[in-house]
Amino acid sequence: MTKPRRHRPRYPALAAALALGGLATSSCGVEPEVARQQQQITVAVDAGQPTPPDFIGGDVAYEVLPDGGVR
Amino acid sequence: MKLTLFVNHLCNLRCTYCYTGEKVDRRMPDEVMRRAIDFAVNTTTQGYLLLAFFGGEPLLEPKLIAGALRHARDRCIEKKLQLHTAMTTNGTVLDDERVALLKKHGFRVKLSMDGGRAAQDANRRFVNGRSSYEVVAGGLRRLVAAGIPTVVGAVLDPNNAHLLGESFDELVALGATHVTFAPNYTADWSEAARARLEQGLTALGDRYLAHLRAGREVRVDPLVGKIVTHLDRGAAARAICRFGVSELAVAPSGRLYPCDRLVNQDDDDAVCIGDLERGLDLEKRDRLLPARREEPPMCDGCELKARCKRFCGCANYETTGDPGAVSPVVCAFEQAFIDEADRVGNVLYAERNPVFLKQFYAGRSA
Repeated sequence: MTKPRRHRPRYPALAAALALGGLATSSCGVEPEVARQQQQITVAVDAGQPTPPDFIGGDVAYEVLPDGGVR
Repeated sequence: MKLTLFVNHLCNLRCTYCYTGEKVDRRMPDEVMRRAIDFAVNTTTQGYLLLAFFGGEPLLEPKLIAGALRHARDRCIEKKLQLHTAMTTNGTVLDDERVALLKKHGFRVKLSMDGGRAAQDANRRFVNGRSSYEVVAGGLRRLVAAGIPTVVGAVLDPNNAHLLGESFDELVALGATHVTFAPNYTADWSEAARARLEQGLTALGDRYLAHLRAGREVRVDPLVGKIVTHLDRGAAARAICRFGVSELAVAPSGRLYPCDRLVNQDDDDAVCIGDLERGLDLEKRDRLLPARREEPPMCDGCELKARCKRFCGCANYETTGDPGAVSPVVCAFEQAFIDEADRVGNVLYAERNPVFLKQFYAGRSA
């Protein structure tokens, strides 16, 4: 049963679905950011632009050392 | 696909509300780690792998993590998948080496910390009962200084609910820009505890107002998330978890679960949806998928249902034993969060607060 509400939103909703970026709601913490990046990638690909390099998963020219360090 | 590896059940803290069961030294074998990654890259249809590490405390296993990153990198290059990395950590073992690992591999970190000393020590102490506050505060500062994207994940519990406002302030003072408070739904929320929660939520809203009025671009959830559900009425629906579909958690044994919150001690067959030997039990997974369930009768006519998380399979399972059934506890929290979110949203919009307008209206007022 919904309790009577003390406050009702008087800030306007957005007229159309808007890319809210990392502001999407989730308690899980990281997925909305990936969703946002995916959305940007999709937009970039659709526009014929190259995929931004920082979306490829970071610099792949690294070496992970056996002890867990990196160089 | 999001793949969460439980690298070990071991942890050096003894948080009172921890939902991951007994802290035994059960490390994920390298072979299980590799097979889990192979399974995910061969299964995903989404063009990326979000490789997440959890435990126990995952940073007690840096070698395993380094090996997983190496294997995931090779497999993602081979499969032309993007690789994203994430970790939930208690922040107690963030030395130079581990911070460098997180930085180098582009990790997004969820640091578990409840607030200032009082809130942190109420529930998050070391095995020997010692305070973890100074160590974890140092960990947060190091993550921030290294420029590692960090969300602070705090647990909202009956014994820290009254501290919500000051907890947010203290975390911001340590450098956090995004704090998310998640309720311990299974705690005893007595009438007195609910009263403290109501006071704490108002204080949290007030502190959020104060930070934005001071021009600070900070975010606190669930308030911001609930503002978004009003701005964009489809937001809650789009955030429906992909419970076992595009999200999988793997226990050290190789057993598969639809969400990291359900791995626990790896002994609940009701929510285990397969293993790396036999693969996914699709029939069982689909039975658990809360998004495919009919709307619970208790939600009939509720004006807030477009804004709530009744679809959260793990919260529902935790509180009712059924991923598709909403508990009155979850419902009460959702109502309280939405109410406070709308209070602060109304104030900030009425004031045409520049940070609020920038964050939610691309800098313009209607």
